Amino acid sequence: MHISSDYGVWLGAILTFFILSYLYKENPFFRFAEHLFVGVATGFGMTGDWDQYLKPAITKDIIKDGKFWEILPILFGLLIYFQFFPKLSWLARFPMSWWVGYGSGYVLAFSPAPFITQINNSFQRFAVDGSPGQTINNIIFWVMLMGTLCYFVFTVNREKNKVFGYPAWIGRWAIMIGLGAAFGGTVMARISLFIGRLQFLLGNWLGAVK
Amino acid sequence: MNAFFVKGYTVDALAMILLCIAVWVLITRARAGMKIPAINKIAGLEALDEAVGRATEMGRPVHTTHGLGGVSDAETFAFWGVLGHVANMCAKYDCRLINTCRSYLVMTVNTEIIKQSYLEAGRPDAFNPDDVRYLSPSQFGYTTAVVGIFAREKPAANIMVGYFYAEALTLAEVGSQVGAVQISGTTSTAQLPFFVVACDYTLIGEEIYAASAYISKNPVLVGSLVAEDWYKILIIAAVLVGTVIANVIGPKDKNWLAEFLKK
Repeated sequence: MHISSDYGVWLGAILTFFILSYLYKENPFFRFAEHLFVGVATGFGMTGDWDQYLKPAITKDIIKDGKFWEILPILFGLLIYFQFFPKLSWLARFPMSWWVGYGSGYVLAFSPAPFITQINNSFQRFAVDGSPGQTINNIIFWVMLMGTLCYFVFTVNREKNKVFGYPAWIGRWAIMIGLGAAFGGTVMARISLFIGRLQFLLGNWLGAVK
Repeated sequence: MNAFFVKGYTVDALAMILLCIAVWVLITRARAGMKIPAINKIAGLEALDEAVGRATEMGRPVHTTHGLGGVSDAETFAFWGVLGHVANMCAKYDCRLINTCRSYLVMTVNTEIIKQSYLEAGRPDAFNPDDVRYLSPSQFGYTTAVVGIFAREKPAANIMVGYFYAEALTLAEVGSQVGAVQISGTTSTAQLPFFVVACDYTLIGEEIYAASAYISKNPVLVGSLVAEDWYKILIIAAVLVGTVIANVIGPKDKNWLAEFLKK
């Protein structure tokens, strides 16, 4: 066993225990680690924004390349700070409106593309020559797809309309089976994260495992 | 073909135009007071009133979050519909509402929505801007901060609608530990299982987009939802016809519907 002498590893280990102390109850150690994490992450985000967006825009685009028009969107964006001035807070709504409008337009322009492709890919042949496994897969896929689609039709009464009611019932089961499978897969991924932390503590910190 | 009309997207464009027409027709019908179909019951949305009511009785706050989605995400748009309704109820019942954000842009919009809801409820003075909190741009920085808020302020209701990543289980688990009624909704198939396991009610995928229309019962919004349903029925029909062609006529390369959809 060779305990690390690297102060960074020690800091990581101590903060790990501070965070894990929440499992007992909320306490000052957890609170310290929480606030440290939030502060560091926010600072890191701000410096990242400055380095990746603002600094290149000002030093390269505007000053070096003379793209002075870029000052306009920067000024437009700065309007958002007017929310701190109650009498002029309405000015902050302009950049917000632009962002929301941009978002709506983006969704409308690019969301349909995948689902038309998905419709096309759902035209499965049930009988696949020489591959009974693929045949079964295609049938299961198609039945579950139709059931799930029927489940998400909100304005047809499933109790009265059995044409949608029965497939929607199958769809409900299909969704639950799908979520169960996804649950298992993701739990495995989470366990691997936990193992990663244990490896850090037992390996990097305590040197008990290689 | 020029850059404005990209080859391979003709059907996408037609589909979008068709949806716009359907929405326009249904909204016009709704505005004219003509009958439009009712929406099926969605348990998670029915429970919103119950959750806020419980928080009011217990004298504890309601927590809302949209997850990690940005201001341009459709899931965040769906969240705003829910947020407006929840904020309105919180204002009416005099229940404290805490909203946490990972995105400063979404926080700005959330602030406006909550402020407007309090105004509509006739209680603009009850709005506390400090309860709309930007926590951290980091995924787990945000998550850790929410865990701390839950532990200290113990909300009685936790409403999580939006796009979530790996933080979903942590948030739902902590909410469950403090005894909050939890209503969640996301389109993220990887995170839905965790919500189903840890929350009292879960809106699955498309259900979050129906939220605004369902909650408000506004005929115009319901009209839009009905139009979307027509569209879904058209998709079901297309899948049905395409599959029949694929199985009856022969190989997929001879499927005229498949070829048409590629245009």
